[in-house]
Amino acid sequence: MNSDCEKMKDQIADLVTGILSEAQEQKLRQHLTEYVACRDYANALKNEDALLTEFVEKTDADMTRRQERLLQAIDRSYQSRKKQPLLMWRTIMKGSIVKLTAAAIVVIACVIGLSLWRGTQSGIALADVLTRIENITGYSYQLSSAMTRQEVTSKWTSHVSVSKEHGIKMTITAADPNSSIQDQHRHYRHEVGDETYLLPQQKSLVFVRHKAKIYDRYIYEGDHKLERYKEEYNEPRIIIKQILSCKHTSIGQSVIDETTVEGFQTTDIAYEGGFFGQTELEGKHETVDVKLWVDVNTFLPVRLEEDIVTKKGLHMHEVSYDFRWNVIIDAEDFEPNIPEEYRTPRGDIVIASYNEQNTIQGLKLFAAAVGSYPVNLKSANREFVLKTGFNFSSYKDMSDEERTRKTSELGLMFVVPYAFYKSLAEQNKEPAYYGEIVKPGDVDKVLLRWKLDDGQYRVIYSDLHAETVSPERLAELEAALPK
Amino acid sequence: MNARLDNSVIRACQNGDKAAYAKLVERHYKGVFALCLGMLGNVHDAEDAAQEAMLKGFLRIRKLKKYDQFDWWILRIAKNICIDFIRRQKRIRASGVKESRLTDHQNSDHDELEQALRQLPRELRVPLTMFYFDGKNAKIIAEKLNISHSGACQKIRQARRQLHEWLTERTK
Repeated sequence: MNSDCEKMKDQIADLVTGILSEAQEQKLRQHLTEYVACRDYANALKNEDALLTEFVEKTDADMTRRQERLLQAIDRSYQSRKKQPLLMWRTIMKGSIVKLTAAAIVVIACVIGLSLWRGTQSGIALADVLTRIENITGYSYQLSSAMTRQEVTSKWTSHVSVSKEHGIKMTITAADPNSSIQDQHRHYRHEVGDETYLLPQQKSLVFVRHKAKIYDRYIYEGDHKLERYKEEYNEPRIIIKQILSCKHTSIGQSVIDETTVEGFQTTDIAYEGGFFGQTELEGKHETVDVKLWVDVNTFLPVRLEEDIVTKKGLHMHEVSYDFRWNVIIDAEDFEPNIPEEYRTPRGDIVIASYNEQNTIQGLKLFAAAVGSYPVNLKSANREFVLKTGFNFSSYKDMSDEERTRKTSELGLMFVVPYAFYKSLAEQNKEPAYYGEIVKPGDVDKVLLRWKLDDGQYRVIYSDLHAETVSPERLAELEAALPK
Repeated sequence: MNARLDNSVIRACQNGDKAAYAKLVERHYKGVFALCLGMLGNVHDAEDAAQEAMLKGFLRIRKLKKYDQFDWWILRIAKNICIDFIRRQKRIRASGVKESRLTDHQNSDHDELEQALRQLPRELRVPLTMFYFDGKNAKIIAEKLNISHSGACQKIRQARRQLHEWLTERTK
């Protein structure tokens, strides 16, 4: 190789890639006949060129499949967008005042989204996913559930419909074929055809068991919000809010059912989504593993997996999949399907508001039936059954109205005081309950107290009258409690 | 399909004709894919990015004013998507979060040439992959990348030489 050879390498590269000019090509070919090293270099580049061409051809072979996948994604996106009120949005946005208001709302939503964001590193913001879902009026998904305790597993599959206007409807579409209802865990029994309706407009929760021809209806008085119940059905909006309020991370992109998705995960035991009532019934979480995958193009969930083990040994596993967005929902779909001949074993169950007045009423009923106040508000129902021998068989011969009244009383006794106490604790109002040491006949003894916003304390006494006292007075009262 | 037909197709897309967009996909997808492959260095990521780019193009086509610039416009969308992807990957790696299964795909594919391509600096890899995927026409690549013809030739040349050095080093 001579000194020209090094300079020729550039031209050799151009020759092999076919971008050398004709004039230079002739001169180069002459050079190649004279210098072996340059010829070897040219041959090596030609081989690599062939390799590159092969690589392109191999990749090209899949190009049709890629284009088909793309067109499918475009079709899905088109179907998803078709039903959105874009035109209505544009009409609304014509007003400048509306634009300002809308802009303010977007800013606030972004701030809220940012303040809730904790440590994700993804290109998709979960807050955006939430906004996306909030704009959808109707959707559905499949929900596969499994619960295991004491080596007994209950499994079932449901179809869930969500309507922004009407609520949630869940229908059991499959139950473990190897297990009859008697074998399933006593808390969680499902049969194919069972329906659940969560109806915020009517403030009611209805369970219908078609095989047994019975139903339960819970009616929530006052300002009850049914939001928490939506967690039981893995309602994506609620679950995403839960994830946003917990520590969570991005788990990167992958492909599910030929859809490119971005994943999010939380293992924070503070996570409360799914299986409503699990904390109360099954204890706090021992481990949590929740994963959500979102379509990177549509920003809509594709799959949600929850795996939770509680301190009491219950293992819950749920998967939400096969999401269908912008489905048309008819109001009559959310009318509970209860034929006339169906019975309600406990009558309509009225859940009173969780407030001071209803708490006093509940404590009064309990004391009248048992002779004392509940030792522990959380387990008032168990104490009641133990001390009174109560069971629902006595309801058999009652009229529906009587059943409803009796069941509502049970709700007042078992549900309201504990729920009220819990809500006070969640609001950091320092509730304290002394049912273990305070009796109905006691005089001026503090039974239940909590802090008010102005620093004073609200006290329910042993005779169930209530008043507001100063911190100093409360200290005196509590010092006088039996030890 | 010539430029005039492209214009009528784009107009149809802007009127909501998604079947018309399929024609644009047929014409432009490969070029977008080649750019993404050059930017990202592996086929799987390039697939995802190209799909995202073409989908975004479909969703935003009403914003395109100069129909004859669709090519340049869609490539710019693709480039931005690739840049976002690269930034995300850097953040994920910096945070120590476990990378996705897609990364597993990259490792298992272990093709020496693809590896060699990944070693090239992006400013050389992009014109090289576009050149090989787009009919080996340096003039067209220069137009797409908005650089001079001689500039495109120089980059392709340098890319080929560096690729050779890397491949030769591996076999020693």
